[in-house]
Amino acid sequence: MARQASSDRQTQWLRGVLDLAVLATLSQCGRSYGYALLQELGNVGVDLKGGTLYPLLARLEQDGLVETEWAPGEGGPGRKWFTITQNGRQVLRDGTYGWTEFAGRISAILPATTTRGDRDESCA
Amino acid sequence: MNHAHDAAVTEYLQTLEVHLRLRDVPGERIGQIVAEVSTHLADTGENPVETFGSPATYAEAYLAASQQGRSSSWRGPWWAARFVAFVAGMWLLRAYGLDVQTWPISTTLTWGTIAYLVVLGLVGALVSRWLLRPWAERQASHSPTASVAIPPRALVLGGLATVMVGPMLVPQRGNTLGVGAQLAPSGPVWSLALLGVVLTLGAVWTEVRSAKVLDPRTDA
Repeated sequence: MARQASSDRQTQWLRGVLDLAVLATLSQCGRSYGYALLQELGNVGVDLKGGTLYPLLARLEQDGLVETEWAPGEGGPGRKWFTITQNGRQVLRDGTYGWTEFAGRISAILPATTTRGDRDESCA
Repeated sequence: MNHAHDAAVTEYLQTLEVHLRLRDVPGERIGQIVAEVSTHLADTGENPVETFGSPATYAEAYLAASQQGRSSSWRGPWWAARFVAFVAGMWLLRAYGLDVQTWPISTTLTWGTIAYLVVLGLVGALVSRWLLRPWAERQASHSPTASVAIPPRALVLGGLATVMVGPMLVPQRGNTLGVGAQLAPSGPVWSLALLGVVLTLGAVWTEVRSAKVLDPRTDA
């Protein structure tokens, strides 16, 4: 039950920053394709399904944050390759700054809440 | 991967194509979405429904996620434009092309006539989309592989019905709807019949091209 609740919470957190996570991964990889991106994200504990990733990539493409090209893979079938654009890098920089600031504020609250709760003191 | 998995993937991709088509996604875009799913499933060997959800769910999710770019992933406006062209072409053929005895007579095309045909075509397009939707779904469920023929057939069916029924419901007043400004110099009737042929065939041809699914991996 607790594990399920934790998983649901992480899904909600991820929803707000998934585009940044994908842009960041693309920024590090240079050029990548859907399955490789899923693996990269999975390696850092962000487990996604194709049904979530590909529509997101389509939105990033339509927003001009990534460019795409169909080209043959290594010994495999032709596949869609994604590259982050200058706009995408700018959005990644802005988003990273915003997320860091936001996460910092929340992190500052969370331990304080615990200690205050322990001491049963008022915030006022 | 085994034969059962391949069969399941094939069926999934065909059904996905149908659901994208029923949501007015252009054939070129359908080809890209289906190829993306196909490549992923070939890479991973995953179960398509577990990875992407049902074909209907995935088609809906994909379009919802890329909603901002609706103009590039939705062919509604182009469908309406082709429908108007088809209706105008058929109307011209019906008015001028069928009665060869009138051919030597000079005639003119007015802005009023054009406005009437555009309104008739747009109303016909909206009504046809609504009325033909159940028919398209039945056709697609009977034969997913033949779903590529649905949009052109819907255009012809809806267009013909509009030309036959529309003028009865909304008759054109006089020849100009009160707007008599001449669009072009008077010319022989056969020129309007020829214009009708060009508009009709052009609309059907572009609809067939738009519906055709192109696989970006092979450009075929």
